[in-house]
Amino acid sequence: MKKLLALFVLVGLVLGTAVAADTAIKVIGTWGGQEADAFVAMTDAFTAKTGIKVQLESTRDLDAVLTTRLQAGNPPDLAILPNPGTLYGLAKQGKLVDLAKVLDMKAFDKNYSQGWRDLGTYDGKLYGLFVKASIKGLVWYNPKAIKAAGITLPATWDDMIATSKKIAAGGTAPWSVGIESGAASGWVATDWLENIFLRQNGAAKYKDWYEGRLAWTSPEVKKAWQTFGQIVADPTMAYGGSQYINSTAFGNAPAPLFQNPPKAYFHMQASFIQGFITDQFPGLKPVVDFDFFGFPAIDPKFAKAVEGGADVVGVFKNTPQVKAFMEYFASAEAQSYLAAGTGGLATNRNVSLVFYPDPITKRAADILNKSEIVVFDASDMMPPEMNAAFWKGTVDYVNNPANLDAILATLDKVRASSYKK
Amino acid sequence: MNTILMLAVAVIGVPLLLVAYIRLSEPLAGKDPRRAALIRPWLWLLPTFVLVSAFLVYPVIATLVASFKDAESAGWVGLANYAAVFSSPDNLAALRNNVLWLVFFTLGTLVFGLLIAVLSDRVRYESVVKALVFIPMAISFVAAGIIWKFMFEFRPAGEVQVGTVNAVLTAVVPAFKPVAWLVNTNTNNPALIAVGIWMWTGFAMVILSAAIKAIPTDVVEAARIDGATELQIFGRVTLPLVGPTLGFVATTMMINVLKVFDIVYVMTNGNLGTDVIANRMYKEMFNYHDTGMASAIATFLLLCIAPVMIVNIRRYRRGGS
Repeated sequence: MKKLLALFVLVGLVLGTAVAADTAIKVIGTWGGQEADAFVAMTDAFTAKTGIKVQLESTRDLDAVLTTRLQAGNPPDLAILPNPGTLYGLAKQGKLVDLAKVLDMKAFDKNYSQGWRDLGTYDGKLYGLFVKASIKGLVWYNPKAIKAAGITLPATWDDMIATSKKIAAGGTAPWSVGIESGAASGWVATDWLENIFLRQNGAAKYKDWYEGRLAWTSPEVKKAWQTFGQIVADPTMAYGGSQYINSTAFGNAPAPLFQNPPKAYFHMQASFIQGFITDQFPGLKPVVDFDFFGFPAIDPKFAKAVEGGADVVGVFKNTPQVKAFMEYFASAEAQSYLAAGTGGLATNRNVSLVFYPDPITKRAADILNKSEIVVFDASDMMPPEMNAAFWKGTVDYVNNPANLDAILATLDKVRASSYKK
Repeated sequence: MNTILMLAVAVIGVPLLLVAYIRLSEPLAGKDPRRAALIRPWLWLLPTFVLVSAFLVYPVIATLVASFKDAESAGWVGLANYAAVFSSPDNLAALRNNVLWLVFFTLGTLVFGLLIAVLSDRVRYESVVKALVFIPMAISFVAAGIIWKFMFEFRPAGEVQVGTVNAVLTAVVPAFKPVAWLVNTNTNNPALIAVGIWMWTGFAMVILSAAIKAIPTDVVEAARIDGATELQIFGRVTLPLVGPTLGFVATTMMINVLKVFDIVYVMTNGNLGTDVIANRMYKEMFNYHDTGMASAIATFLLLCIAPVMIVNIRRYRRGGS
């Protein structure tokens, strides 16, 4: 008996010390691969300075993991969330720490524009720090192929459709679109629709739309879908037709542009696709072999608007270590690691353009810093159920464009129930 | 370091804890040896009851209660969630798909399992065949889903086909146009069910093979002497004698298929008409944060599986397996 007791005490002591020694900051996020490497480079610099370790747990199933850990009362210290909708949901549940208690707000205001501050605010308090932005709605092309085919780059939507039809008449598909993405399949198509809607209706109506005040069956929204249909509903306009669009992962969709002879000429995607292109085709050089132009204007009134996206960091526990880390994370120094490593753009406007690895990212960062109207990705601003229905709706639309009215009616039903929750 | 510690605690600590409990609960059984012999089994079963109550009974009751409440489990909504389970078009599509799975998956695994078990029964290379068919059981559903997702890859006609299925078919069948198996609404459900059958045929085959080998040889010999053909032996001797086992395998497959989630989640996430009810439950809980709806679906699933399980348990009790 005595021996048993002694063994128990020993085990208990050892276990206790092991648990007590763990003061690393726990971060949870969806970043993997290149993104995670850049994050680790950044946190290594932080650890070298302060001695505090940072552990990143990556999961694509962030929603599920966070929900269970919050309900169990065991949240991580920080979470890197993929959209503001999740941030607002967590803030509404009272799980997030007010960042005014964590960051030096004077330094914050110097580094971040009012737009980013507003986006991270819920109910008057700042809860989210935006990092790693991207511009959505850039049209990528292969300059060599464009030159060889004698194509002039279009400036307006109508020009672009006319150019595309000419290319299609020549026997090649003008566009390559791929919207498969596992649980989030369809998000690429939602980016298309958002850019079209923004340029047809402006930022104010755009806000009405993602806040649920504009019906999906309204003429403005229906027109945006039909405009998108000019690209995806016509089998000669998009490479491989609807079957290819729905089965090709978004990261593989630019590939047809770089084949010899090219199988497509234009690809619409956010700025981060650059990393995917250089991964698959390591020999390609920016500007020479691949480049972008901005999404063409539709209504000249709204030509200068830009749609962006970013990841947002929320804090669950306010400890001295977390405070130190967040100050560092928000600084230009930390953001330069993300800028250099991921093809993402810094939200901190004081990150020097020098850190961007190539002229393309520099151009994108410049556009973001200088834009007059920057709106956030609308589907990311919608409640999660609406967002998922939107994704699914685009997949169904690509599969059968004739079903548009039924799809929009379904989306309206989801709108009626999801904005209430 | 932490994991090694936890492993040590689990491997050494847990048995130690059990021994300690058994030793320390002796005094509770009392001094009278006959009474002690009566009480002791219940004492030893007590930890099991506690654990089962905590991890099985309590969650079932909590889920049942949550299914009558709203999305945040704050207020009562009565039967509204259950009404939505049977009326929401997403759920109805999912239920229809579950019926498809129920019928074709069960039939597929039974038929192929039986076929392979019978055909390989007296062949020299039997163990090789059975091993090959059984190997898919060793991998997780998720791994199978990922493997088959690559196999079903689609590239337009005229391109190099990277998906095995399309590559083989375009090479072998003349003028075959590659099919987007997971996207084409005519082929995506059958494709997913095929993956499920590929995974579980091994299980059916192994159990049916054991049942076939348990058939007394003199019965088969007698049938042969009476002039029965192999087909007649299969139909009139093998099948009836294997009947109870077939029933057991069928019910086990049915219980499995009602829970199918990983294959659909990994390969199509329920898009384009492939959704299943377990996937709906996951989405409601973790993507839409609607605890009430998710609990209603979970309870509904439980009610569907319960009769099948009861049949299985009754048959097991009666000794037929």
